[in-house]
Amino acid sequence: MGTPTREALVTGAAGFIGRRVVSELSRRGWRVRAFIHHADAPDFSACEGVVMLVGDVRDPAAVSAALAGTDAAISLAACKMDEPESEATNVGGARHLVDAARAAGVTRIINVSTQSAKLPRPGVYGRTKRAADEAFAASGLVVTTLRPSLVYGADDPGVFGTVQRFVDRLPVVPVCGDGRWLSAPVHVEDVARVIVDCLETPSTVGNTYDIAGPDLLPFDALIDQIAAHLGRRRPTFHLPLALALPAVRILRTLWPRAPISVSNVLGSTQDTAIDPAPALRDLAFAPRPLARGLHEVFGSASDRAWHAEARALAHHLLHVEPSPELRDRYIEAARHLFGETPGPATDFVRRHPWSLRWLEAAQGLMRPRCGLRQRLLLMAAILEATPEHAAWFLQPPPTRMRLFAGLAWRACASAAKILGGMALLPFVPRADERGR
Amino acid sequence: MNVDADVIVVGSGPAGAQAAETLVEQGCRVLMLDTGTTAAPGTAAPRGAFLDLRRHDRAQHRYFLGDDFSGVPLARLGAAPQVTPPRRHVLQLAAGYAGILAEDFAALESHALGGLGAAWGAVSFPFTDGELRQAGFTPVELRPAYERVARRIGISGSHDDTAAWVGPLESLQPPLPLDHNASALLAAYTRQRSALHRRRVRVGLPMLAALSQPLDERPAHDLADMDFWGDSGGSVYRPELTVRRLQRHDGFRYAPGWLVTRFAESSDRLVSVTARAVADGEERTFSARQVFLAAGALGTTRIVLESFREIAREVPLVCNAHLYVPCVHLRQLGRPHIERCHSLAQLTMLHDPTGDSSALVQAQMYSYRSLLLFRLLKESPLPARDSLWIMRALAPAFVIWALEEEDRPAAGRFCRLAPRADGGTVLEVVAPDSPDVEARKRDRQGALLWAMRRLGAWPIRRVHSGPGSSLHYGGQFPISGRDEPFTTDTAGRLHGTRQVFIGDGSAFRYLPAKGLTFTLMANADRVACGMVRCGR
Ligand SMILES: Cc1cc2nc3c(=O)[nH]c(=O)nc-3n(C[C@H](O)[C@H](O)[C@H](O)COP(=O)(O)OP(=O)(O)OC[C@H]3O[C@@H](n4cnc5c(N)ncnc54)[C@H](O)[C@@H]3O)c2cc1C
Repeated sequence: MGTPTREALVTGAAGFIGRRVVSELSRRGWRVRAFIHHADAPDFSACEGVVMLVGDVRDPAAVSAALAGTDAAISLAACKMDEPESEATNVGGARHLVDAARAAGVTRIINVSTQSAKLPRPGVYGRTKRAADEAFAASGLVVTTLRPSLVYGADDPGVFGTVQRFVDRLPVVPVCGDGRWLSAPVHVEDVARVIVDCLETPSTVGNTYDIAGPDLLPFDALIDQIAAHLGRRRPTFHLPLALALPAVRILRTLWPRAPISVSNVLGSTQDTAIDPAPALRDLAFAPRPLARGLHEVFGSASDRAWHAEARALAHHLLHVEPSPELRDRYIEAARHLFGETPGPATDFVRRHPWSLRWLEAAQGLMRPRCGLRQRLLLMAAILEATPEHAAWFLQPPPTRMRLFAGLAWRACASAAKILGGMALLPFVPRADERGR
Repeated sequence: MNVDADVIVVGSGPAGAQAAETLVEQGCRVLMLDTGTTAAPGTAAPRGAFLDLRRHDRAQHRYFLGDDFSGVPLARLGAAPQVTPPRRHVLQLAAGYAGILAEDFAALESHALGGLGAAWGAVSFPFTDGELRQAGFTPVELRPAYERVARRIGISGSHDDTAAWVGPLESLQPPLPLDHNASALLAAYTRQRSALHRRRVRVGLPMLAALSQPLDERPAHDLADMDFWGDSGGSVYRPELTVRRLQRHDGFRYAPGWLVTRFAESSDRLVSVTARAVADGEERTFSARQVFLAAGALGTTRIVLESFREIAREVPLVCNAHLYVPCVHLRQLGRPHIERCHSLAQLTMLHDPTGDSSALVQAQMYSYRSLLLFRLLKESPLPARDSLWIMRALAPAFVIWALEEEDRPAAGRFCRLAPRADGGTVLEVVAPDSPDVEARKRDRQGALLWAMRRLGAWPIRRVHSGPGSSLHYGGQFPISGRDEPFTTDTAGRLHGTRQVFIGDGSAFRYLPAKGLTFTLMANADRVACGMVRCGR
């Protein structure tokens, strides 16, 4: 190709969207300056042509140094949780970028904004992002602004991720408002793709686009879908806005790093008019359907059942969350050794992880070679043969006093678990699963 | 007619390797035919200390569990549980091999380079004169061979309280250091020596084919406690070391990938050996002036019976009985495991109830730690997490005694060739249990269990790994003074042949309660020396 490689600055490159934008740019042959706030950055070693720059968008000198000599900038750095530095980061950062771009003669800017900027009653986040949008619009530079709806994907630290964790861990999911808030969730990789498309499509200059997924649905329906994909059924609990707002305010003062902010509440209770048409038209934006996207995030139903099994076993044995590597190693081994379909006891445990400690105790005594015990044995082997948990396995032995006390305690605890398990056995369908 | 070599050696196990070395040293041209499988690349454990690897090696599951997870013991304890994933190939059988028919008897063969010796535990006691005579050997002939082999492969150990039950050996390196369990048990033994001697129990250090001082190009043992998973840089003797070294000689050719099926002697004083290529089944005949059979006792039996087309002919089978006794070493509770040690046998203990070695039981002690906790989990009836905690707390004090008993030929126990439906043959092993023998054994074992308790190692249970599981086989073609079919003469020559010699366990009349491999190597050297003389 004759054209010299183009170079783009990405602020907020370590973020949920930023990471994907960096790799998408690199995939399309851009050189990338990944501007990140903290030194503990994601690993971009698999992406070609990426240089990491550590700095803060609040520091004008850092921004101009980073921008000098590039062809374009993508603005993604933002404070989303109503942090005290929101104003300085979101608005100040935008201004610094505009000034630096003017000085460096960089004219192409993609400003990634939010639907929250359109809220009738914005929080700190919405207000500062709107101010940033205005700063970009008034700059006279060649700017395109994108306003994504709810962005979802794996490892999301935002609203989607919070909902996912709630569904996963809480028996009842609290929802602020009436649950009828409409969003058009869009997959983070589609967002990354459309950002780079936009950068490479000069006709988009000066426009503002809503970036939305193809499915527009109420919040409650979204929660149901997430729960279904996680293999859970979760009732929701609706907290009226009049209560939710003050409650969250108090929570934030007591616990400044709480996983929910006032802006979150405001953003997920007021509808914005989302117009997907311009992006479809100008950018040929073809986002994936929600069902497919969720499937990609959470995996297939059988994968999820396997994951549930692996987690239950590891939690039971060592009280740890298995790393994805160990979990996958377990699944590979168990598929190889036991086949795809679990016996009834294992199936029961997959659906009711709490039952594992009781069931396996009873089966250990009564049917030591049953499938469930064999799966535990396999997981124990996998947890042991790795450096991750070596500290637990290689712990020096306790002093004799502690050893004897420990043995006595373990004996009592074992007896209790065995009795409990025997009481449970009649409720487990044909728990007489045979191992190999 | 073209000859491929002066001598064809069949098999690269301890017997074949030692015979080949002797023959090559004496100027013979040797062709070693061997099935000779080797480990898949990447399965071996890297060099390094056990704790370091455990703490830092991200690929440790590959050798601790195996790429196919065969190291996770889900089934009942089988034969040779100490054959870990990096050594799994040792028991892998070659393509096109007929197999063994055996019910309730672990008849395991090796088709690996180095044979079963690629996985052996390296316990190497010379037989006493009495044992040698009963096994069919002449002590004065074997003693120099023991010394030669010991100088070649390196044996470490000492002459201590068990000396009267072990043959003499001059060429001995100093013993390897003991671990914490062994030194505490030995100290307990020293304190209670007279009480134990009254019950005719002795404790001492084992002799091991593992170096405490460098030998040739091999380093001294690194005390990395990785002996179940690796070879500590070649300090533990493996026949492969000999084969690799011999390959530098012009007079030696190693031909792996050949499954020998039979031999035949022709009128021109040559022996032809027929083998099938493992890769494509192609048959080929090799010829030489002499043949040394060392395909492992069972492998050799098949080749001999096949060569004489002796269907249904019964030949004897002896095999040491084996028993594992896991113990908790009470005195060691609450103390950590030491860092630098080896995981080979640490101690040996013997019980001679009759005082004349005629009913000897001998046991080797191993510290458990480097075999990992998960292998114990299936033995525990308690909930898994509690079991893990308990095992972790007890692991440094956990020792295993492996008991071994002598074995003599018995009526009703034999090997024979049985016809197969497809016209071929299969080696059949018939070894029924006899309850009265079992009862007698229990009595003898009782004294050792008592001694273990006395020393502070509390037996948890007896684990029978089943008949045949010691993998010490022999007795099929015993050395015989009389000229009988299916025996060998004192020179190792197979009856009814001129130039076919037997050098593995199948020539032993009986197996005393100590591993036969060192003696088998010494005998291979002795037979090889004799072959050179009669070949000239
Ligand atoms: C885990 C384990 C631990 C042990 N520990 C001890 C111990 O501590 N002390 C002790 O004394 N003994 C021990 N032994 C036993 C010892 O390994 C054997 O006694 C010894 O290896 C026998 O040697 P061999 O040369 O007769 O036969 P093998 O070692 O069985 O070798 C047979 C050779 O013949 C080849 N072969 C077989 N059939 C054919 C064929 N048809 N054509 C061509 N080649 C063929 C094979 O490839 C192999 O190379 C142990 C064994 C095992 C498995």
